[in-house]
Amino acid sequence: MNNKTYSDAIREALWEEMERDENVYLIGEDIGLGGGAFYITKGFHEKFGDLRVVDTPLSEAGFTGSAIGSSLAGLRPVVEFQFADFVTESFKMIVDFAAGNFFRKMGEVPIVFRLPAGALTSAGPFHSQNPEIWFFGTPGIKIVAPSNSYDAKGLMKSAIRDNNPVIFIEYKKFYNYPTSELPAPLRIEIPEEDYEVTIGKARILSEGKDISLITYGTTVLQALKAAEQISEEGASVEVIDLRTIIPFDKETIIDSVKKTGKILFLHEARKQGGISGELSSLISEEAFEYLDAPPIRIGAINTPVPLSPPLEKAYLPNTQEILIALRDLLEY
Amino acid sequence: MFEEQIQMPRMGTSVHESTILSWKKSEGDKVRKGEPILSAESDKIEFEIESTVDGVLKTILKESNSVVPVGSILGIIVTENRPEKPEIDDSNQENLPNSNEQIWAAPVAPLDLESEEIPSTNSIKNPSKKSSKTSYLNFLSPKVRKLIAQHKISDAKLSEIVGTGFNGRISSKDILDFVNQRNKIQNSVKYEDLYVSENNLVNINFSPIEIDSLKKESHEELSVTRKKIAKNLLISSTTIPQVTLFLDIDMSRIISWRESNKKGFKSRHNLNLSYTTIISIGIISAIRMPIYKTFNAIFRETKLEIKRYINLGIATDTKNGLIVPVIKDADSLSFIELSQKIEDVTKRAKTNSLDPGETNDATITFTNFGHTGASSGNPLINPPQVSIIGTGKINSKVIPINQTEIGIRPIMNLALTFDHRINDGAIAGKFATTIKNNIERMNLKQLEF
Repeated sequence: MNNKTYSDAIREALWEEMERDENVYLIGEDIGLGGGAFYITKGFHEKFGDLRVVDTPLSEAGFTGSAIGSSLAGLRPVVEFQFADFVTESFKMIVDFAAGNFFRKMGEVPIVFRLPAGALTSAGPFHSQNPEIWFFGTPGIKIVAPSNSYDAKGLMKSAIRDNNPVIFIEYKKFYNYPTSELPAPLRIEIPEEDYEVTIGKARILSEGKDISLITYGTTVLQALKAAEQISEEGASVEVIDLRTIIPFDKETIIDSVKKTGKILFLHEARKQGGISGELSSLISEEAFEYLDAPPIRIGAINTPVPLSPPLEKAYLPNTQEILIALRDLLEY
Repeated sequence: MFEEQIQMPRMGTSVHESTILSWKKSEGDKVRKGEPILSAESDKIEFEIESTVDGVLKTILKESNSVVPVGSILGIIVTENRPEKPEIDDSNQENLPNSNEQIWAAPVAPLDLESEEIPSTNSIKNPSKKSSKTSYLNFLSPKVRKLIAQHKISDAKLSEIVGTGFNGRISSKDILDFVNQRNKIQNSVKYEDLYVSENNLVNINFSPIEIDSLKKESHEELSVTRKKIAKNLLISSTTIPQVTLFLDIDMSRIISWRESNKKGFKSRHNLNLSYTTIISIGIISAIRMPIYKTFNAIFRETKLEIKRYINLGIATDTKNGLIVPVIKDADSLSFIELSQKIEDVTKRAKTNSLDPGETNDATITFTNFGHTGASSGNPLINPPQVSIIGTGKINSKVIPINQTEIGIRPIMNLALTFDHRINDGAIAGKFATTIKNNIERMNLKQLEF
């Protein structure tokens, strides 16, 4: 029985990696004495001390750059951004000095950037964004976005052990959600022993033969709910959780399209500029002869994230909209 | 007179409490709207709280230096004007955990979203999409084209398929339904692969037949029935110059129609839908045509009696031998009546309960020997009739289905044996072809039941 929350899982992964490898250290705002804005690193400073749990001033560019430098010197930093939105302050550091290094033969940058992202917490436009779209076109960086506690722990371990820069997207609204109330595919038992989740591999959460529903992050829940509703109506939807944004699991997606011929991409990030555009084009290029309908995409509308709760709800994809799109696709 | 509460405001999403620094007014003092009445401090900043109305500060509830939670009532102002300010929304209060826990509260809110406003721009059927309705009529998606090629559906057949997809397009489901229907036709006549295993070998016995040496032969007198048959057939084979024509009939439509309707027919009329009946209808329809009247006749010596009524003999196999009960005036019977009569006479023939007159006066005979396993055969005419029609077992055969493609179809061989003194090959061939057409293209909807 998985009783651990998403934040428990991340915390455990960080703790176990800190114990396993003395080169791993944490750096970010309020993570040491404060225990982290979201309580993830509570207790770490007492155990690991100043040098391995580093509280920083309010300067993302500064501490990101210094962490990157330390990784070139052999350390393995895990950088926490208090909110994903603040990563824009470090954009140049990440894109020019972490991502490109491998290609320019400037050394390996085994760094992890933790980004608490996502909306539906009434946190407003500066505390609710989805950062993956800003880095999607950057070669040399990996991006993971787990939707549940089992994947979160496994992917964090893989990310820390990976010698490339990895952006680890955490969803704020999942942090404290009771795992027991989630649908079965998101409640996988977390084993006692060490395990990793392979970066670059998607997971099929529910099998189906009529529509492929490709999603990740917060919309996984809505996808599962919609798929269940559709199965009661007599059809079956194959829900695939990407888990990794870069490198995305093209093979799993195309295998699914070959089966169904109808595909719906769903993510919380805005439809325009979201990664579904890339995936959708790829399907048209590489699996055109299997298509029975044009690929469809659902994402947030093209505005900043609203602060007001009803506006925020209207901004984000909702279950009704997903159901309508699925039913229309079935009838197409 | 109204009482206006002074509340501690929330000065930031992460602020749960503030400290009162000092009151600028005392109890009993007049206050004006917008005038600062106390100063306070939260962990980020120092701020002032203004009066929201004109009135008198009646009561101070919290003193200077006290730490009060956000939303607490600090004091009361009495005023003559009804206050207009909106309520402070405290609804998020219950989501805030203890301030010792997290610096920033991530509320445990419901994770799913239901909104009354449903943006429908993401559906494939969004009306703002520019494609025209008519462009879908001949639209075949890549998957559909794949299925068509995979199942070898000809253009001719494709034009018969009705599209039930978006805007009338032919969808994958339409193709698969068509293939299922087609398989039903083909599968109802089983293709029998020669399968020999240990379990179905035919063993040959090479030892001599063991019998009592006194009984190496057995002599017996022919039974009455056999004598009758023998006499008739001797006359037939020695006195009638008879010739047999053969042709093949494609039974796909009949089989498919029969598969779809046999259950309903049985439950409604307690009758089986039989091939014998349907073929009989094809024969009867041909005989009705004036040019073929010479096939429905009796010939004695030199006189040809052309009959205007059709008494159809149905050759039936019984344990006593071949018996041919006759359906009198078969041309005047409805489909149901004909079905009934055929089922009835063949049953009674097998149980030897036919009435004496029921085997007389046939004007033409039909023998369906398909059940015997033979595919074709040339039946002998029953004198004094001048024709007999026979049909064999329906077999799956490979035939061309258009100029370039072959298909598998259920084929039945039909034999027409005719008395060449009365009819020549040309008219016989035409008669046989008409029967074939009647069966292959029968308007099945007219068979009312």
